[in-house]
Amino acid sequence: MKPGFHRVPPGSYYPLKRMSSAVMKMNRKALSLIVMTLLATSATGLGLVYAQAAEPRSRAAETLLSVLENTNGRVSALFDSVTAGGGQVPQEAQEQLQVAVTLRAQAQAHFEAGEYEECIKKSTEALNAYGKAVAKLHRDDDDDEAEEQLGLFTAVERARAYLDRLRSAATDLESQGIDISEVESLLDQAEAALDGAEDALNQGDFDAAEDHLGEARSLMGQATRELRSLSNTKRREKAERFINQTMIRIQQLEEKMLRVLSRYGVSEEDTQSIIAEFRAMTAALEGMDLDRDDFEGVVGRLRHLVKESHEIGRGRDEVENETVERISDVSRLEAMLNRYRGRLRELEQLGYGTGNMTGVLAEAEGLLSEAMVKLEEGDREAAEGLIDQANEMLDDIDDMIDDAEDEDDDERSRSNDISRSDGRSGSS
Amino acid sequence: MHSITHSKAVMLLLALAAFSLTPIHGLDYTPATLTLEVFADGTVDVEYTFEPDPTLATVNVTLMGEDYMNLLAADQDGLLLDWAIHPGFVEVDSLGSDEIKVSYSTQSLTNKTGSTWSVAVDAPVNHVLAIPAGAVLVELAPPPIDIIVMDNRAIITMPAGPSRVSYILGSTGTREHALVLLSVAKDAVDEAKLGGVIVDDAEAALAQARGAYDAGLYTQSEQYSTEASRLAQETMVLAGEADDAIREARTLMQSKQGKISQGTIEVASGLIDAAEDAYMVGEYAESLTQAEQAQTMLLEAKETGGIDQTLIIAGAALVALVTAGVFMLRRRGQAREPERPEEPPVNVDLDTIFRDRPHLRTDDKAVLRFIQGKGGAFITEVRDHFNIPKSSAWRMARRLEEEGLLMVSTVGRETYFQLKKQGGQP
Repeated sequence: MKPGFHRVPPGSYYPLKRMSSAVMKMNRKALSLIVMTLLATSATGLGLVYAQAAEPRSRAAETLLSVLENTNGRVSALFDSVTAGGGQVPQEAQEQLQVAVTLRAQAQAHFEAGEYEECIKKSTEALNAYGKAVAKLHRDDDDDEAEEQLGLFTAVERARAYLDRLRSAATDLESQGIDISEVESLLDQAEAALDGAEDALNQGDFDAAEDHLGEARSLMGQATRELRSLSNTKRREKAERFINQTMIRIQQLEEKMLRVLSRYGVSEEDTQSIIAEFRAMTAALEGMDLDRDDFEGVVGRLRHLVKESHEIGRGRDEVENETVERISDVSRLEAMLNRYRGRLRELEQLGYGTGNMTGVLAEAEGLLSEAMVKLEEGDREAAEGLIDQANEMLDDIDDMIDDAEDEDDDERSRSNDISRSDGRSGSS
Repeated sequence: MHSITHSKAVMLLLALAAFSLTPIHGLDYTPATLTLEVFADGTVDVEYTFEPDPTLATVNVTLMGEDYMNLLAADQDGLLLDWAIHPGFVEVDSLGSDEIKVSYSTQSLTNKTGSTWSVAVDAPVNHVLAIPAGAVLVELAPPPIDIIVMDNRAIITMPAGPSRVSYILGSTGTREHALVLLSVAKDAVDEAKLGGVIVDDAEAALAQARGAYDAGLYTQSEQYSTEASRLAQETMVLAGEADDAIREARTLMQSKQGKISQGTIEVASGLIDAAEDAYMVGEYAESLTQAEQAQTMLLEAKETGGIDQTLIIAGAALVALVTAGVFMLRRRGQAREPERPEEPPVNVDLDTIFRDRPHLRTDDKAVLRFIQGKGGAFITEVRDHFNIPKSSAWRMARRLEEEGLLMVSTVGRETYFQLKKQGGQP
C-alpha cells in the first residue's frame, strides 16, 4: 500500500480506523493528486491527441472490465438470493441480465483486440444493462433500523472530512501569521469527541455515539465561527487592496473610454458627463473607510460601484454597447494580467525560471493594446479576435503558474519530510 | 535555480488540455475543477474551484444541488470568504480573489430506488466522482473519461454536462453491519429479560454472535444476531400468550367454582399450577399447552355433572398430570408454607423511591407496599393477596429485582421477597 493511502479494513464498509490528522491530510493530498491525474488524462475524452493517449485508455478499459466482473458477481448473487428465498426472478429481469452478460463478453473481446474505446463503450452499456436488470427485480433488502444506525458511521466519517477542511483552513491562516491557538484547541476537542463517537460505535453504543457526534459538530461550528472572525483582519487588508486596484482600474477605464469615445464623435457635454461619473466613482472609493465603516456595508457598496462602472458609457447613440463591453473586457483582462504578474514575481523569488511565462504575458499585453487600437479605429471584430486570443493566453498562463506553485508545494512538503526524518535520526 | 522539468512540462501540457477552459458567457467566473465524494448515506461532499473575475467585489456562483451543509468558501490563500445563499446561486465576497474554492455537503444529488443509489449532476467541467467503498457500479452515463479503483472504491472521471452514475451498496457482511445487528439483538434480549422472560436460547445465540464478531466472522455474527433477535422476540410473544392463558384459565376456574364438579376444578387447578411451573422455568410452549388444556377442560365440563362424568374427567386429568411430569411433583412438595425468617424488616422510604422513579408500575408499587407492610412476603402471599398467577408474580419480582428494590431468596422451598435496603436511606 502506498504511504498515505488509507486501507479499508478487510470486511469493513467504512474506513473507520482512526487516522491522525497528518495522515488525513496525506489522504486529501493523495486524492488531489488522483484528481489532477485523472483530469489531465481526460484530454483524450476531449478529443485531443497525444502520444500517451493509448495507455490511459487501455487502463480505463481494463479497470472497467474489472468493475464489470465485480458487478456481474454482485448482481448474480442478488438474483440467486431471490430464488434461494423461494422467490421468482421476473422474466424481463432475467432477459436484461442476459443482455448485460452478452455486452460484457463483447467488451472483453474489444479489449483483447486492442479496441479500448469500443471496450469502454460496451462496458458502459453492459453496466447500464446490469442496472436495468436490478431495477426489474424490484427488490429492496433494506433494514430501516440497521440503516439508521449505519448512517452514524458515515456521519462520523463525514464529520472527520469537515474537521480536516477546518484544520487546513486554520493552517493557511497560521502561515499568514495569525494566532490560531484557540481554533486548534476547539478542533482538538472536536477530534477527541469524534474519537469518542467512534469508540462508542465500535462498542455498539449508538446513543453515546450520537451524543459525541453532536458535541463534535457543536465544537466544529464554534471553530468555523472563530476562523471567520480571524479571517476578518486579513479580509480587511484584502478589501483595501481591492479598493486601490479598483481605483486604478477605473482611472484606466476612464482613459480608455475617453480615447475611444473621442473617435466616435461623442458630444462634449456627454463626455463631461462620463468623466463626472468616473470621478464620482473614484470619490466614492476614496471615501470608503474600513476602520470607520461597517465591513459588510463597504463590500455592498463596492459591489454596487463595480456594477455601475460596467454601465458607464452605455446607452449612447453614437457608440454601440458592444464596443463599451469590449473596453470593459480589455480592462478586466488587464486586471488579470496584473494579477499574474504578481504571482510570477512570487515564483521568481522562489527561484523559478519564469522567462517563458513572462514572455507569454507580454504577448497577451501586446494583444490587448492592439485590441484597444482596433476599438479606437472602429474595427470591433478585429478587436474581439485579439481579446479572445489574449484571454486564451491568460488561461494558459494561469494553469502554468498553478502547476509551478503545486510543484513548489510538493518540493516544500518533501523537504519538510526529509528534515523531519533527519531530526528523528538525529534525536535517536 | 529551479526550472520546470521536461516530465513536468508533459504533465503541464496534459493538465492544460484539461484545464484550458474558456470563460462561460454570462458568468462572473471560470469553473476550474469539480470533485464529488459520495458517502454511504447518500451525502455528497462537493469541492468546486473556480476563478472569479478579478474586477468584481462579489461573484454569484451556481452550485450543484439544492441544500448546502458545512459550506466553506476560501480564496487562493486559504482565507475564508463570506457568502450568502440566494435562490439558485451563492454570492461569495471574492474581493478580487485569484481563485476560490467552495466546499459543502449536499444530500440532493443522490436518490435511491430499491437497492440502487444514483448520483445525477449537470457539471460545468469534467469532474471526478468517488463512489462509496464497496459500492458496485450498475450504471454509467455517458461513458467515463477515466476510472480507477483504489481501496475498493471506484473513482470516475466524467465529462462536463449531464451525467448519471448508479451503484448498489451492500452492507451485509461488514463489520459495521454486524455491530449494528449485535446491538439490535442485545436490545431485544435485554427487553425480554427486563420483562421477566427467560430467553436462554436467545442469550446463547447472542453469545455466539459476539464470539463470531470478535473472530472477525461478520456474516456469521450477523446470522447469530438475527437468530438471537428472532428468538428473543418469539419467546416474548409466547411468554405473553402463556401468561394470558394462565390468567384466563384461573379466572375461568374461579367462575366455575360450585358450578362444575370439584374433581374437575382440582384437575384444572393442577394443570394451571403445572402451567405456572413450566412458565417459571421458561418452558413457555409447555406452559401455554397446560393452561389451554385447563381452559378446555373447564369450558367443556357440564355444570350439572354427575359422579360418573367426574370420574371420566378425573381420568383424563390424570393423563394430563402425567404429562406435567416433574413440575407437578415438585409443586406438591411446596404445599406447606415454611417459617418466616427472623431478620428485622428493612426500613425503606417508598414514597421517596416512587417520587424518584416515576416509571414504576402501579401494581409494582402496591406489591412493594404490601411487602413492606408485612416486613417481607412469600410469593404465595403476594399471589393470593393480589390474585395474580405465579408467572405474573415472577415477572414482577424480576422487574423489581432489576430496579434494585427487591431481594428474592428461597426460604424452605418457597420464594421469599424482602425490600432491598437503599443507599442513602437510613
